[in-house]
Amino acid sequence: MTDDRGLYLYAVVPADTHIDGVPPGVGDRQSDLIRHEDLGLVAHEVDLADLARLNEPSADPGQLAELAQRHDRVVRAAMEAATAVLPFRLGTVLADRQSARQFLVERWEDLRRGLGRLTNCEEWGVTVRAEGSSEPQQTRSGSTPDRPGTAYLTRRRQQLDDAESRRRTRSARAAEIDEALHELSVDSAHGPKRGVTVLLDETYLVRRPETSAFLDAVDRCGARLSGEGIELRLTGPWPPYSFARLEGCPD
Amino acid sequence: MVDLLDRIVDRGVVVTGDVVIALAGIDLIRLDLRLMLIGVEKALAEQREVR
Repeated sequence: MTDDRGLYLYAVVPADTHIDGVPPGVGDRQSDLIRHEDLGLVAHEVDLADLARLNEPSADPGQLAELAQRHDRVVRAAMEAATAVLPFRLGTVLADRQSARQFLVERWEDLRRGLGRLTNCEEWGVTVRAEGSSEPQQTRSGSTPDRPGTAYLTRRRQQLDDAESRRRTRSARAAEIDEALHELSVDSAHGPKRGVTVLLDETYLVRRPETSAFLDAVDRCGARLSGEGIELRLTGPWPPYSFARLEGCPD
Repeated sequence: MVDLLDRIVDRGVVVTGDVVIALAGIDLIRLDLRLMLIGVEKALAEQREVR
């Protein structure tokens, strides 16, 4: 074992997965499979110096983006080649192959369980947001302004009621969409909901055989929203990053 | 790219303990923040381009 090298981990897959077709990853290295029983770790050596450079404040941001792209490419290819994939977090580096095998042996049951949960599954991201401004529209008052103060207050209350009613409708729409998609998925996870107009930010874990039913539902939901000032956005399929979990004692 | 960074940062199995190289050349927390910053920068840059 050399001090300036480590082992970069991508994912756990079944041991019989053929990963020859997986593209080069971080540092242009080719991954192979470290096996134990029925599990395999998709991994390759990495020069720590390459990774250390990313940590410097002066580092080119493009390099980090490149790392993310390469990582996802390998995980994705592993997903295509395997029946199940359990992704590791970006930047997981072990000391060497021996440590990797040791890890695999010690955590075999947990890894197996974590992988089993994701058999034949991909994830899809769905965001629903209110389009445009949420400011109440101007309502016209037909009455003469004998009492302008009251007229103003009445109008203002109308605007606020309308806005509240719109808000409730949008919330209900988002909940309907979530329910419809939840029914067609194995699991779901909440997203960070960045931005005030976001009504729904969810990731759904979908079994591959159910993909077309899921996507049909997304299309239907999207179509229903047109003209209501709400838009739905879908991203995917992704490897099941959001559902990659390892239970049991961390150490 | 923004989608990818949102999706990949801070997700996936976390390995802890002796087997993990302590610094591993990557400070994961700082990496996460930087990836998110890149995401935001790029999104803003893309918006500017569209205009």
